[in-house]
Amino acid sequence: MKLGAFRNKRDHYLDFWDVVTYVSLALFAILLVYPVVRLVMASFMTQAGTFAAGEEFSMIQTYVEFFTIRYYYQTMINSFVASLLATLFAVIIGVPVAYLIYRIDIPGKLLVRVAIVLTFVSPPFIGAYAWVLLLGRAGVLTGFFANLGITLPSIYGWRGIVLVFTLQAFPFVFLLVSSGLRSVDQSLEDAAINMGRSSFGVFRTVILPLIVPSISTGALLVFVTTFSDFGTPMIIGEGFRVLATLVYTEFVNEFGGNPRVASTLAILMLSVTVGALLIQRYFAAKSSFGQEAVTPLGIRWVSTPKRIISSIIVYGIVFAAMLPTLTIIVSSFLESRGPMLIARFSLDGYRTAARLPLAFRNSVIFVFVSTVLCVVAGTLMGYIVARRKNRLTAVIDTLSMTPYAVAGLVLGVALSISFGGAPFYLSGTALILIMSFFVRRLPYSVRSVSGLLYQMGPHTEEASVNLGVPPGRTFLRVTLPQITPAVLSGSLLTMATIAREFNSTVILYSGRTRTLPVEVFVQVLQGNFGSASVVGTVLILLTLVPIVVLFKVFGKDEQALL
Amino acid sequence: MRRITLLLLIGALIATGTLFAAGTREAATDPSGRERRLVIYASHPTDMVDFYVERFKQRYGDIEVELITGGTGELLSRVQAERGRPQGDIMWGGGSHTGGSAPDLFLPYDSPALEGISPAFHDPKGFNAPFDAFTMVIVYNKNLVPENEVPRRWADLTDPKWRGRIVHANPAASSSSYAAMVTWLEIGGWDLVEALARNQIIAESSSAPFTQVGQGENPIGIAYEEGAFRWVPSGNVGIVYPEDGVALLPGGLFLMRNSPNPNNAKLFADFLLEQEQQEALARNFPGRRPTHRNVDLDPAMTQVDQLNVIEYPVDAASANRAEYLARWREIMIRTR
Repeated sequence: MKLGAFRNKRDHYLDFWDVVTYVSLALFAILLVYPVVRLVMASFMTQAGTFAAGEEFSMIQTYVEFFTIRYYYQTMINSFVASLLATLFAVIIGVPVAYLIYRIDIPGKLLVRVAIVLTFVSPPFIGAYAWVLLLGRAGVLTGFFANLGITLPSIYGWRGIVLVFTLQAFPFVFLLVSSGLRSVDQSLEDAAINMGRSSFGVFRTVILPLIVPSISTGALLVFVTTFSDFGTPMIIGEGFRVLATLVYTEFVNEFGGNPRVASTLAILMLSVTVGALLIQRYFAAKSSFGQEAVTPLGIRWVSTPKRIISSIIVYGIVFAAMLPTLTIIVSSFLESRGPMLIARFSLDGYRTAARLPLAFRNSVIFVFVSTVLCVVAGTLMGYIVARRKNRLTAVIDTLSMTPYAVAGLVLGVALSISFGGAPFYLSGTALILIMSFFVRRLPYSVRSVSGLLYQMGPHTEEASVNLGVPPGRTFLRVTLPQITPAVLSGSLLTMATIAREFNSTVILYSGRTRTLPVEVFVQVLQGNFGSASVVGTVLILLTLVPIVVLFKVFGKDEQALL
Repeated sequence: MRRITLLLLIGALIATGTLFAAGTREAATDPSGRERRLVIYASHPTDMVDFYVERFKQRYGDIEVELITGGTGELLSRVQAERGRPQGDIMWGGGSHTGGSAPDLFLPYDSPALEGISPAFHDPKGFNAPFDAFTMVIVYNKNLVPENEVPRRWADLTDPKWRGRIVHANPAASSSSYAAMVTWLEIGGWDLVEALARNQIIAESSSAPFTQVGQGENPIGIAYEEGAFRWVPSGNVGIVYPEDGVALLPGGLFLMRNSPNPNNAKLFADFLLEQEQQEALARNFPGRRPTHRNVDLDPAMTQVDQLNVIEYPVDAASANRAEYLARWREIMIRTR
């Protein structure tokens, strides 16, 4: 007997899973569909909040202005230039580093893993500021190289943005390519070598095509994250203005205006990220081989000079990516006087951080509540998507994909427009923040549970139902125990990502509900890098806790971060 | 089966109920007329805000103070958004005209403590509790600007050699930077504003100009007095009070209309205008100008009589804010 057959006997009851299905749909309708619809509406509305088109006003006025005034459309061009270049460089760096680490016996791989994790947990926003301290016109490294007679190029403008974006985001490519390489079989390489290919030829003609889907997924993640990052360009842009920064400044700064311009810009941003997702999926589907490795690729023996060169490349790149995080941690232990950092060791930053406890408490509470909600909802939804296939659950499956493409900034603006003012007045409340964390992270939970259930197959559950245990109890007694380890390890990752969520929070928070990432932002904006780095370091620690548990208790490695 | 469904539903209800309850607030008053809480929206740097909140708590230990910080524009947007159900009691920051220009959001307040404040700083419309005053200054990095090239006037900053080297905050985001723009408008009209804008790097925070100049990232910034003075101890920065005119601007402190704790809001405004707190200001925050008539200025600062103080068009600046910012945006579109 199939799982679905059971309910036919009692069609007139509202089965537990039906309730889950309807509640899930309602949640998506409230937290995702409604806000996006409101966002679209807001971009068409007049100052007075009506659609009425008159002589002076047309509904698409802001859109027309965007595409006809260079001041505006230039930001779109700039965003594309910066993000596409960053994506390109992230692939150029990420693929070789992943390949070298996977294939060549490089000493101290643990260190590289630690470094990749550190880049992952480094608070957003503050990284760019750390680069200013290092490579700014008066930066530490700039001064060091100037003494050697070397003039470094400026960190300001598009070059700096591309550099910071690339180093922040290449771990995506690295992680995806590493996992892609695991499914390539050694026999393919052996065959190619036996037929006379050189080692580079093997890589180019055999291995590379097999990992193209992984590369394209990594590239998509780099593109989408950098396209919607407004902090980095805000700090080091200096006249190189991008779309994301414009969304932020138009939304938070208009006093007495309406959020129309911000909504229009957010809609444009949404179109780009959704477009990127669709293109990537089409591309990945075309180039996917559905392979499975019996004997994964092994370590390759290479001559000592080659090993040394590989190690230098890998360590050089990883060290560069880690630099800002190290700068933040070191700065947090320096004495500061107002905005000035003094080169003297001190713990005063931690002792006198009056604003830290509230932000810390908020972060911990929000992370905990949102993670629990995500895990519960994600597990139930993942289950219905995988096991209760019907038209409604197919809709849930699709909806659960969409938040991937909705950037935090866009979601923040949409939620704020929908629930911030009358009649809900949720602006700045814990509730609206938890809503945003929940919807941002839910897709990952749904995906991981449904993926796992597909892999496991329904046989044990069917056996249980056939022996007379109702589906609800079967879920609790049979399914849940099987997926619990994966759900728990997934929840740790959820904790880590929510802890550092920034782009939507910065739109929605108020002083009472400020979180650690927001506190970093406030301090950086006020020029207090000392305080910012203290809060930043605490945030790094808070993010590291679940990841360390994930690695130590669940025996995962950095692949789990995806 | 159905029991599980029921339990889950009850659980969900309790969870949402708790969340909502956490969001609502109580406005209990004690016999002295004081409420239990006070919610302050502040856009000043956190060290000064924290300093005074701490002192206030020392005096009125029973009042629970909640602080909401952010940029002036950001906080005012929030006040605007919450006007149907105000969440805050007092807005500390922004220009002195803010209250008078939004009488639907703020309350006039004739504090008894205004007695001690110099009449020059009183708000003609009666909204502001003028806790401090400031001017906009030119701040420069001594290592990057040779002595003979130090600008003396606003007009000097239009020289093409400074193209892309002067940091100024976005007037739409920062009230102090908006005041600077209005000052230029008074001195030289929109031509001067545009000529100055052409050379500027526009930052999104009013701390960026003095921070970047102090660090040596850029040679010149347009900053509020106190921010510029923060970097004086480093020995790297110089401060210029432009000879072609500076505006003397009282800082803003306003009671919010229909706020949950109106009595405590008055208490806080009275507190900040006291001579004792004004003296603490001069002593602890170099670069800030107290407004109390019996409190002396920090000796490092230039006395008012040595400045070329221009009449700041308070009413026009607030009445025409939208129009001026639209003009500014047009200038940005032209010059970028």
